Amino acid sequence: MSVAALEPSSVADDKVDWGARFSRIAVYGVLIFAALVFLVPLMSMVFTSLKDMDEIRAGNLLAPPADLTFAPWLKAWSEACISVQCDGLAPYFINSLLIVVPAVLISVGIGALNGYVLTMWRFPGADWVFGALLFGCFIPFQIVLIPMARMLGIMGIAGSIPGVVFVHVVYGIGFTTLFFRNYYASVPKELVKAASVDGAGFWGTWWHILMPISWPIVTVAVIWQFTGVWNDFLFGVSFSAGSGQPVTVALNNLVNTSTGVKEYNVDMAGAMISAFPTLFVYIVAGRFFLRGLMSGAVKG
Amino acid sequence: MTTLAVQDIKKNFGPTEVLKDIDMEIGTGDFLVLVGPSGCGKSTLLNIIAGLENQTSGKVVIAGRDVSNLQPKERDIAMVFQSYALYPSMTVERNIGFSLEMAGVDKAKRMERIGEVAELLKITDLLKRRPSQLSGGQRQRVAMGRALVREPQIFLFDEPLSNLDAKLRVDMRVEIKKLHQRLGATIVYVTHDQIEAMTMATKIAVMKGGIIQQFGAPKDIYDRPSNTFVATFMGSPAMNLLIGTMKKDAAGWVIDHGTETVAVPRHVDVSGLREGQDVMLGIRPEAVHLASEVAHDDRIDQGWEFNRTVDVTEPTGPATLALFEVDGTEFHASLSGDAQVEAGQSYRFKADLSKALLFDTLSEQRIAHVDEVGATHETQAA
Repeated sequence: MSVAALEPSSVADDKVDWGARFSRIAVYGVLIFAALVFLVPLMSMVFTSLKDMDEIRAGNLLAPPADLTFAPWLKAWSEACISVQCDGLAPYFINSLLIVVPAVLISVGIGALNGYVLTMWRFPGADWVFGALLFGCFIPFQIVLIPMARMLGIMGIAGSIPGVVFVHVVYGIGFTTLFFRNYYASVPKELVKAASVDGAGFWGTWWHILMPISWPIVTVAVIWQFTGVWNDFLFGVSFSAGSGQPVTVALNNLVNTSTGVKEYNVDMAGAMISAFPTLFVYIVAGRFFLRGLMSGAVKG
Repeated sequence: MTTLAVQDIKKNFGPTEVLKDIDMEIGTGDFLVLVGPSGCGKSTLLNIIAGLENQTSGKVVIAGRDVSNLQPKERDIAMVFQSYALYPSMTVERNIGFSLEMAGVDKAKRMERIGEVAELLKITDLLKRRPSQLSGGQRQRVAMGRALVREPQIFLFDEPLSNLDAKLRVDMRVEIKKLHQRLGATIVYVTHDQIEAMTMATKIAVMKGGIIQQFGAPKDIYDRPSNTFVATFMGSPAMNLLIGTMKKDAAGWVIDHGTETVAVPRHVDVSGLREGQDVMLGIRPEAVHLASEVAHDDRIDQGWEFNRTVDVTEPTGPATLALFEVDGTEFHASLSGDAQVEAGQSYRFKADLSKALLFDTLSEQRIAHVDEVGATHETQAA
């Protein structure tokens, strides 16, 4: 560092800059307030889920549990009654996994291939195909419900987990294609030419050259698709039936079951169980997610 | 033996003709440089030879085999790209061996070949690194290693030195030339840099507008350019072109450029000239000297002396460039490094015309030399 650059800070040491200090305090104040706004409801959920019903009726929404109990979590997981069955959320949680894993893998895989073809193996009309896929991203879900139900009927997968997977894949391809196309657009075309001279074909080039440098965008696409599919309610409630429903639909049924007492602690525990996988994915992959979002700007 | 023949290659992008009837042949061990300004079609031609682009019509024959419709990998070629195009996720070792891997060569054999090539290029200690950990020059070597490992019929280079700094470029230029001499490889090399072309090539094809303007040995291209484009493109600073008209006076043909007349150099065949014809006299900057420095040099038997005021001087070390005007056109003189010239001063210059060239202004073609025209003409001239 040069001497000139050091001077301003040594001046600041002598004299406190109240303006700067005030704005710093203001910034932190706003940030802490915003954090509280987001955290208080979550805190209230956690506390409520760890209390028994007597304490909930007697106490304060924000008070920590006096008598810690994990019973509501166990009940939400494996005993709560959803419509007529009393197996808790567990089977529906499994359903969600059975939907989300293939839906994410297939849509990300196809998106990567689409992006590869649209950038490296351009064909006449490629821009139109991309435009159509992009347009698909903006079609509101509600519009396609009835035609999609008819389609699934014709295909013989209505009301089943494969049906829901199919819908999510179709809706996801637009986004995943967009991600991969834009990512691959920053990859020099000469790489593909070099691979072609070296004897790698269409698949070899994709697998050996492009996929190994695609992990940042794969992470982005996986997180995007995972949260979208896991949190989906509309397609789940429309295209699945009975014991094949995803956890979001089951949670809704659990909360809305109107027999007997309203068990707030079980509802809260159920909501958190349903939200946990997306939280997990963010924590595990969040670092890569940010890196992936920014990687378009910096050539690898 | 002919290693590469390009026959009547045409390439259109929609209505735009990028290449028009390209025809040429090179033999085994030739180092062909395709040179020209950007947009002249040289890279397109290279891509067509490589099979990365399809020609609209015409044939590419490599080692006697028509490869016009074959995939790049089936053509027995290897290519070095401008950006090197090293695979970022792979180590240097795997980068070099990738083509062998794709061809299904077993690992032991592969490692042996990689080792040999690394040895040759002195990159053995870099084999475990990734491209991002290499300097520009090292990447360049790895890119060459990737081509060498395949032992192809032809090496194709697409402006491989243009991403390097000036010093490294000169070093790598020598290195590629050494490699060519050692391996006796056949090379097609694309560049826009005429110095690279002159220094490395055994054959040069100067291109412009999708046409090969001239094809020949570097010395021929430099000394006997076929038209004004080739004459001014090859050589730096560019050849000076003096505009004038033909006139016949008592002593014979002269070029009248307004203020003075210059005698037509003796080696030019004057049989086709007519009075009043618009011509350009081409004189290379290095053929222009200070008259005082060459006063006693009797090697200059056909000289043209003139006085001019120097506008700008550019001392480069080994030479001092002087820029002045001759009848409205800029004129460069490449004087000796010790020449004492100052801007604003007038000097007497002497241009050596023994290598001067005469061009027809209208067609831009060079007017033939006496030794180039038929035997009948020669007898007449004698």
